[in-house]
Amino acid sequence: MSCGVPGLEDAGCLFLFGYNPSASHPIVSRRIVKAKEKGAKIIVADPRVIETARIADIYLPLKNGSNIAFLNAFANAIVTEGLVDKEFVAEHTLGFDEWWETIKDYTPENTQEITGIDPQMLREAARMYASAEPSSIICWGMGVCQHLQNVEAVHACAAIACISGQIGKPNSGVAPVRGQNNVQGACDMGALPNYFPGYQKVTDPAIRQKFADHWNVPVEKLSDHVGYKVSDLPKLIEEGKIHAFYNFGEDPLQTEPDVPHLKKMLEKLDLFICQDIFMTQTCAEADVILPATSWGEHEGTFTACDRTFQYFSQSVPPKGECKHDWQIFSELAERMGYDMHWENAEEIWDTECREMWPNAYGATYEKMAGTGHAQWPVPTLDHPGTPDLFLGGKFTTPEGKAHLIAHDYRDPSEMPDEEYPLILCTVREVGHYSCRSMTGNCKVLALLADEPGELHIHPDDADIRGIRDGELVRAWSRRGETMSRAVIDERTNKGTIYMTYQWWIGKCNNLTLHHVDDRSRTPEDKFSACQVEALPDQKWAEQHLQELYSQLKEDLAEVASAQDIEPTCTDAS
Amino acid sequence: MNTFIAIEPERCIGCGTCQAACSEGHRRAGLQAEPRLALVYTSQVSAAVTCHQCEGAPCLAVCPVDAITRTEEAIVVSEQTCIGCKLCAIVCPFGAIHPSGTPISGVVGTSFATPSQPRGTSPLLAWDIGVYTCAVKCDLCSTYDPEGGPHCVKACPTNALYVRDATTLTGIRKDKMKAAASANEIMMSRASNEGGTHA
Repeated sequence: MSCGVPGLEDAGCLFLFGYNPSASHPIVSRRIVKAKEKGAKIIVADPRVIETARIADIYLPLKNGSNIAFLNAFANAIVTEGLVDKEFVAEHTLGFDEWWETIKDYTPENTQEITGIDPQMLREAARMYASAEPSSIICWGMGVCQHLQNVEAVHACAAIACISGQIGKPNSGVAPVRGQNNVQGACDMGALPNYFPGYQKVTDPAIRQKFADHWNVPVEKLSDHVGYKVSDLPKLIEEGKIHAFYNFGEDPLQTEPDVPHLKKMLEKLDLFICQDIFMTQTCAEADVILPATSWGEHEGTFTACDRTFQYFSQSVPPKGECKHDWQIFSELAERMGYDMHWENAEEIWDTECREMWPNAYGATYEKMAGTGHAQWPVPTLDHPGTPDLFLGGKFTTPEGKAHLIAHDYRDPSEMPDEEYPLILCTVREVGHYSCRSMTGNCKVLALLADEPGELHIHPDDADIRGIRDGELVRAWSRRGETMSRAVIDERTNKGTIYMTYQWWIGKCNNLTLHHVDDRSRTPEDKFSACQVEALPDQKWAEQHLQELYSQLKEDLAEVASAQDIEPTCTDAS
Repeated sequence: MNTFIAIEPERCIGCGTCQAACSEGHRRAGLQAEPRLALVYTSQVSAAVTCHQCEGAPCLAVCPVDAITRTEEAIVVSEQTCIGCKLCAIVCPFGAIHPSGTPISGVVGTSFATPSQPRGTSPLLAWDIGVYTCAVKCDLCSTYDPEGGPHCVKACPTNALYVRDATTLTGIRKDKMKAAASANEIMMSRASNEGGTHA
């Protein structure tokens, strides 16, 4: 994010595009409610009437999958309404003319058929966004990232902020609010195929040398090319390029698209290691399971989406055979012949992060103690941290200027047809987090929402299928099928169903399409074709659901029971 | 007067934290874990719907076994006395009472629940094998944590829930009257200004 999350409250206009904060980040949603009360204008563009749409000044119900057409038209409106910040464009951006060559064809009027948005309303929204004082922020979430044209949409959002001069000043710019807890931290620490910690490129020889020296290994030992991405795993196993997979803190058989195919591919692996805190469906397939500690059993830092490091402490000692992730890694490294030794998390933070990444140098545990925090860039010990990036229009490109990039619209990969007439869009649910391995084990949360999850459907779509509210239904696609509970929802747009992705029995990822974009390799989770039907015998369906759920729980308990070591009496002799 | 919980729908983000807090508080006290407040979502409104602790509480009037009583703080149900007849749920004008029971799954011989009707069935008609239900309604947390106040209000991340009691309502009424009085003043002074320009 180019601004801090608290800064959302002080913007003049918040433009939420493909982002449902109430379900994904209630804490951010709270800021948005406060911003509204402080007088900010709210614009929401989303196919569903999300919570924030109710309090929006302008709500734009765009059609699923039309992001690029919409954003291009929005940018077009800013230009044609004369709202371009000419000074900012001239001094701080590159490529406006070329950008306009593409954008000029996307008028609000001629994109209406694709986006479904009334041109007048779109122009009004563009005026509200571009002319807001003192600043505007575009917030986006997975509604941008999990589409075919995801990187393109990010380019479009950034260009919109630049041409209207709504970036480069406090509380302004772009706010991609991340899809997972601490995903920012994982990226910061180089858990990416192209970076060492601190976004330092693996392809840069000088950087490789720096890390080789630090880790005391020959530079040839460090990979000089960008690695594989996790979404390509099934394809690479199929091609025989991957034989072993070490999976930690992730449940791909729940969260990755096209689970039936992925499961077949995982079975082909020669070695499959899982490191987790609960027995998940993925762990159950593993050859080796390494039990790790949960958030209450270790200390460390989380990084929020606005680059804020926060410290968290250990409250209870690990149970049984569980070890901290870093202990497991260093013990493995030692057995492979590399001397990797740490005393605690702080030592790792100091030597691997602060020492190697200049922007984090000032983020000491001391600074983060208690409820303290440090927001990077924080290059020196007395640096206060940096809520706002790019102040004064200084960007981090070689030229110091923003590159304006435009793209043409393309249809999503799998359009609905006669056989599969509905669009499936996977979304988030406020009460359960990600694959549900953690929140599913919390009694209260399980009471509020449990298997098989919900399938939100428009009243008309439910009506023609004879589906009644609260009933169990069958949903299927070209990949597979699942069972879910229909919620007839007038906030849902016609022709699309919405499912959340954490249910074991109601697994929407049995249906989703495994199609990734060329640049980020992110799956197109927001758009695939499917069909839904009513189940005639509801009593049978309810009982069947319970049987399936109980069976799965028993199976997982069975695998987990391998670690139940019989207590032995040592004093018996 | 009766104290009750009010909601500002503009602030509600529909997150259900109030329900989680309600459920957890009652469960820990050995009461039914079912949340006492419901979340209602329409295309226009998201709001928690909860008991108004009515002065003329119809639920209390119809209860045949005096399981519902009026205390200093609220209208409360005795889960032990309730016979699960559901009359109170039928007469409640806000739909703020419903039956709930503890499932027997996990108890000897039953590893999982055996549903006997579609989930869409009205909770007033639904039943489950071996489950004895009783009425649950908001007690403002007075029966188990009178000092801790209604847990839902404290849990709300956007401060959308309020306790409305004699003190707050008196204050609000005074504020409203002041606002009305100053609106009068504006109207009067505008009238005199207009008069001024005409002259």
